[in-house]
Amino acid sequence: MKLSSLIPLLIALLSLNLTPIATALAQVSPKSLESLVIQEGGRKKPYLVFTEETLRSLSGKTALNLDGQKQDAMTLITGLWMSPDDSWKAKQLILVSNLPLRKHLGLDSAQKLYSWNELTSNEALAKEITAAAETRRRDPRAKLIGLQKEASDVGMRMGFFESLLKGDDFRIIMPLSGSDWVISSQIDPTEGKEIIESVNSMRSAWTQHDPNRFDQAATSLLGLQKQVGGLPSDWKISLEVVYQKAHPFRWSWILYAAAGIVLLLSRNSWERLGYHLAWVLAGSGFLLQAAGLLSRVLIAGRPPVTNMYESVIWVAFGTILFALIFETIYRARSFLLGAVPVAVASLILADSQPVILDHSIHPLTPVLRDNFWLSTHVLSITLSYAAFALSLGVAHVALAQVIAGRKPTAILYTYLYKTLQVGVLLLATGTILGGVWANYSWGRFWDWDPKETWALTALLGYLFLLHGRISGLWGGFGLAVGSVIAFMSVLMAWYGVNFVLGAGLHSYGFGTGGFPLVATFVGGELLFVAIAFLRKQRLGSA
Amino acid sequence: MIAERQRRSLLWRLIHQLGSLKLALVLLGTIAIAIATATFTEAHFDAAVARVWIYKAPWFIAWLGVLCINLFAVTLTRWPWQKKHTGFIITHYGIILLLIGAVIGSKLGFEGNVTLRTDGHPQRKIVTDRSCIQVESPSDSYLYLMPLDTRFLHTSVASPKYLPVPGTSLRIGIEAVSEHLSPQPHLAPASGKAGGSGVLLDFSSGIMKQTLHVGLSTGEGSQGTYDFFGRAALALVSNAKALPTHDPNDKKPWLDLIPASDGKSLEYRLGRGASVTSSGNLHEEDLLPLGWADWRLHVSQIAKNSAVVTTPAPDDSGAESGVPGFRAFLSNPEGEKSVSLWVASGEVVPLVLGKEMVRIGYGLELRPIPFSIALVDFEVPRDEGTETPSDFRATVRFKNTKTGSEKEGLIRMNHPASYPGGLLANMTGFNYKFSQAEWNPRDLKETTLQVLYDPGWLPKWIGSLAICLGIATMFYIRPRE
Repeated sequence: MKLSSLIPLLIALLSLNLTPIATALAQVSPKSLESLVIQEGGRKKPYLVFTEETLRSLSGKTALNLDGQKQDAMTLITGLWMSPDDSWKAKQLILVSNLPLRKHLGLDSAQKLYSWNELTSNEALAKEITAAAETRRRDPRAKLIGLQKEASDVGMRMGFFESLLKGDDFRIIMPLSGSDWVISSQIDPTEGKEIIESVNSMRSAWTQHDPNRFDQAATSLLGLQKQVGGLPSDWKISLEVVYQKAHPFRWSWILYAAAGIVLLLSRNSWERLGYHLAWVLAGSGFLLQAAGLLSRVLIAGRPPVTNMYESVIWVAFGTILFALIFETIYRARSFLLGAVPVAVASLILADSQPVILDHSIHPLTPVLRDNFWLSTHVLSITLSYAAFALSLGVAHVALAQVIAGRKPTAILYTYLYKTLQVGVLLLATGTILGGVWANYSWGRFWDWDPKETWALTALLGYLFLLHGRISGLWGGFGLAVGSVIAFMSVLMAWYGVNFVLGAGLHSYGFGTGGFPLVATFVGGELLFVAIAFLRKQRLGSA
Repeated sequence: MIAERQRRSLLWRLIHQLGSLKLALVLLGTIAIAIATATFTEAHFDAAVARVWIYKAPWFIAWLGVLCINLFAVTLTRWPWQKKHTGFIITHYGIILLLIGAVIGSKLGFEGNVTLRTDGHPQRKIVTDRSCIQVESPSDSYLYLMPLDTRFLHTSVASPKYLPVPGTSLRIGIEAVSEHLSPQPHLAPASGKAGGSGVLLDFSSGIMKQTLHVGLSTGEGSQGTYDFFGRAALALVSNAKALPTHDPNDKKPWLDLIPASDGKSLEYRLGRGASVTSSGNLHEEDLLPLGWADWRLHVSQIAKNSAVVTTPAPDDSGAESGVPGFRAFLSNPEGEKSVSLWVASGEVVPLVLGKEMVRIGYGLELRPIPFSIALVDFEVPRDEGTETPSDFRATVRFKNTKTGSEKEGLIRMNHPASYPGGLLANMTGFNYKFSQAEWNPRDLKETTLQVLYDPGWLPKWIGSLAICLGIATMFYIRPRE
């Protein structure tokens, strides 16, 4: 079966939960433009995706309260395109996310969005941005840190706002020669007369609040764009529009959470029914998540593990996948019960932190552009993280029982051991595949790069745990405690190397990149283990 | 049976001790902690520090040796082997094989890089990542290479590090090292037209955290003017008549200096446009605020009959630029010492003691290869509508220097080219592999390729495969009883 024959099914599946877009208060709806193709960030994408990505990088959100009404990204960005007057400079659109920077600039610490006018008149900001530019000028490879980095991010958003206001980013037409698309005003007036007319007509309809004329002009522009050509296939654009609207991963976690609640609540005579219901709920969530991931694969043409956002989604997916496989074999409940919190937490995190975890699909750096190695090395490493996340979940089930004063069954510890085995096999394979890829593609097999080293550290940690269990140095409880602690090395390899080590000494203090969140998680986990430990000792002595 | 053979034989007891799980746990734990610590060292200091202290340190290598012994001994403890041991044995031998491959690779193989230009000559040498001191022995004029890395050299004037000059009784003493050597001006005595009135000036700014040393001389062949970051102009002239004329419309500040005839002071004029803002006399060690931001002038030396020469010296300008190097002298068994000189990376410096002269150089070791490589074409395709590279494509031509036979290769990202190439060479690693490493966005005629020659490749591969298959067998394949 060809992959593309899955598209109608995929679109149908994702369309089940389209959320309505809040455009009620806008007089002219730009909805007719959503499938317009626009070239931006190294690829062609639907206008809808462009507007949401654009607003997200400007404001960190996909909808804003502006002039007393909630405006979605399409309405807002289309407004910028259709009537780019100076009034936009006074609208609070630009994100200053970093609290220490806001304090440094003398801005309101509770307010995150500022207007272009407010920011350009802020002298402290100009000073920081100049300092950042000076650092970069001296050494183009220098990594900006602290306030300079934050200020430079704000400066980049301001620059992006300016180029939007100038209309430079609305590149909608393929020129006769070359691969760089152009904006409507750059089109040769004799050849592109109709296109220019459509855009002008859209502009006047927008400012005169004439929805019908706007839709007519927009439809005509879409038709003209097809005539000029150079577009991705229709199904790809439709799929991306549907994917963008459907938020499949959000619905997945809701279904997973429901499955978890059902599992927890169903007792006694309801236990069997509850288990089946949980299976159905988790299974549906899993299918929806699979559909979402498959959409990303089809849109981007590569495995869905190329940035932190994708890997968080993928690990959640893998955790549920392994749990469902184990549940199929053992019908144990504890796999699903352990997997659900991990998957739900990861998916909520991915959904709620768009500034740290970037949702958008970008072209990859050349060194990663190899689907064979990406799918073998990266998928096996991330699946190992998933297996370890599942072992973390199962360990939690066991430790929670200890804290509740019950003795976990021996079989639960056997299950835990089995999840650890999956992780060890995948992590060893993935790490070695990484070495082989490195050796093949650019020389050395192993160079003690921090990412490599932490993958190995995590592997050694888990081997330590398993060998200690075999030698009888610790039992099932020790295995559970170890599974939680060893997962911290996975976090270090996965998140820490990129966000903590990579950013250097100073990123801690500034709290960017989710460090406080991860630190809280680690602290919480250690506390949990400590409580279980104390409880176990008391139970043992009782 | 196991207890029985341990009781009977000392060798078996030793094997069981060496292959014990306890030792395995100690090894796993310590290695994990050591390498995890190393990543933090690396993030806070320098990758090279972590390398020297941990990854490449003798104790770490020895520890890996103990690991190999442990891995080997543990497979012996299971003797006589049964079917159920298959996965276990494959895995543990796989790790040993992988480590053996790594040792072979690091001893017999090498890594380096080569920079090629489409309009340049074919290259026959590879720059390795190993720093070396080159010594040309006066006894046979042969060039000797000795590994030396200034970053990890502990040395001082009181206790220099000595290296022998091969074939002689002379020694080279290294008494200081620096990671930031750059050409610095000095005043050197000069006669005739080359010798003029010279000054050595230090400009410093607290805001910019920078110090700049400038040498000027009126002698022929030395520079008498200096462009101060394009923001101001300096000039040293022999007399008032030779003063430069200043354009009234040019608002750039300037500083003109005229040496006094006694050779001990300077007359200065500080101005902007056509107007002089201040003037006066300066002596050695005088300080003068310039009114250009917070830049200050310090007169460090004034001398007659001198010329400006530049020699490498540690850069105290505050910019972390410059090249590594060391200061060395020559000494003989009688205890006599030559003048000590700075040797910067990439330079050759002669050290003279009495009648003996030894030329020494410092830099990355060059390794000859048995063929030449030339860059035929280099392309950087971009992502649509952006300047971001989507790939790097270098077409190279290999030429066997003995037979003269040629071969073309295409190097793309993730797709290296190799020489001699072919299945056998690629399998065994007796093969030079070229992959894309660096490029210069401003000059697309140039590319830098990473070169790898790794005879340990085969054991690494087989070891890798064995580890993965072994673990899978151990966990998931149960032999029928």
